[in-house]
Amino acid sequence: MQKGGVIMDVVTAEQARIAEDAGAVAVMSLERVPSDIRAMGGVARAADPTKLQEILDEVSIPVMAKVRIGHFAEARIWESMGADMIDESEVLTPADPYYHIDKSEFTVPFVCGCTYLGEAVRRIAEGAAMIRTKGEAGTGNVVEAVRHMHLVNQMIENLKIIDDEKLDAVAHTYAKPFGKLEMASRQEWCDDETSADEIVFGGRKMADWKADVKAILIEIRDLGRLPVVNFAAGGIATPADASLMMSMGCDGVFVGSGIFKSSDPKKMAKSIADAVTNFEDAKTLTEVSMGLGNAMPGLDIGQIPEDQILQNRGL
Amino acid sequence: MIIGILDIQGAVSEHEVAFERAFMSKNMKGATKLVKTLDDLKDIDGLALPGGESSAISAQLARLGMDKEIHRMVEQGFPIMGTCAGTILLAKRLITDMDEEITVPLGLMDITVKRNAFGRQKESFEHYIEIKNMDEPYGAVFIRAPMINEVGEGVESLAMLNDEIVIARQSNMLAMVFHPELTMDTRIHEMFIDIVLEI
Repeated sequence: MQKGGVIMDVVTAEQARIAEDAGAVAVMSLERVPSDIRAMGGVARAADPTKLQEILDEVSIPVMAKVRIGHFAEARIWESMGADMIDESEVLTPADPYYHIDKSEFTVPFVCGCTYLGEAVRRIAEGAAMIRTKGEAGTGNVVEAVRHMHLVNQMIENLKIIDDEKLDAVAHTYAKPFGKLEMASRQEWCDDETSADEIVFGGRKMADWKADVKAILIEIRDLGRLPVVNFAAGGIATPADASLMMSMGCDGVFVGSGIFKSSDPKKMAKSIADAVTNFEDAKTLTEVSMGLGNAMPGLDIGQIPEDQILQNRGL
Repeated sequence: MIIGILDIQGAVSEHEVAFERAFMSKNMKGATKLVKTLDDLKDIDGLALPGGESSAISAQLARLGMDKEIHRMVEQGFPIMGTCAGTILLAKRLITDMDEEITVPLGLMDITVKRNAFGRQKESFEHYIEIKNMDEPYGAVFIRAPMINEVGEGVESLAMLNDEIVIARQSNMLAMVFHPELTMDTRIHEMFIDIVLEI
């Protein structure tokens, strides 16, 4: 139960200990933090299981681990080791250009990123138990997380005022990417649109996916929010960033590079945890923002080459 | 009646909804109040400590100075209910596999609690249990649940699962290792409302 808390990226058991001591509600185990993945380039894969084991042994809070988008074999490794949640993450290099993991086949819960409501709905339809904004990981720049949260919130507002016919059209558009592989293969021999009766993914027809998507949209409209927890992630680097995201209605915050790439990780970790709990209290926020040293170096999104933008992976 | 729900971290909104439903099912007037600060502890008739991560909640309780105040109130008979992590916080004694336990419990209830006793997330499960004074079995949800290993005198075990105590009461305190806020069954929340009425 991570709601209202902060989940921190860690690459060693020692960092996991710092995170737990600071009041993290979970840790995310990975090979390298996003800013290092960005700097090194190449293919980023799931971490060495030895590392996850060390972290599982070190802390009492839940341990999450990242897998590549669509890489269900990596996910099986984490599930068998007892990871408490799997992040199917755009921060690693995607393994499948067409599909995400069919998460309904796993007992371990999954978290997935989104840039707008349609992505969130597709991931929930696939079985994700938690959603987070994608933001732009490893940049220390909160603007993309804010963009994604705005887009999700705005579309939830729109759902409240559209009629059933429009809702049906939205469900149609949102379900379309489930037919990505079928559409790609059809290009070779004809240019019809995928029919509703076609089996497209997870042994299910396009019409089934559309019906699921529509049911989730109705649930979102009635609840006025996502039916699963929705965290902020991607670019959160300061206690104020965390407070900003919480104020936008996020249920909690992931911090990736922001802690262990700052000059005083222990202090930064504690301050961000305090800021998430007390996000509405400006006095506390001021106190915990003082004397933190340097936050992680930031990156302007406009300066990142198009092919290195992580949020466009696995829509 | 106003039931406070500790709003630091965890299943807070779920408890709000569950109490609202419990009030409705009992056909009585009642409200919930989110408790985020020391000040919020005023003007409530009972307090629920939700499930979440006990290490994170205990650190914030101390930081906000709420640990001492809750301790003082409950010692004087103020009704309190703990679910999962909340039960860890209520305990006088913790058992842990960790070299160093960072959760500092409030130390109120005469019980010994083992953290993550049933294992990790994948060992989470649902099970029907027989709770004292309930006619029908209760479907309980266990998520990374702790276990009540021992209880002192004056603590009454209300239900067992495989020889382990899963819910217990000590006068004004009710503690359970499962998550009653995640099911539609409001009997546990009603039980706490009855305790508040009784005290």
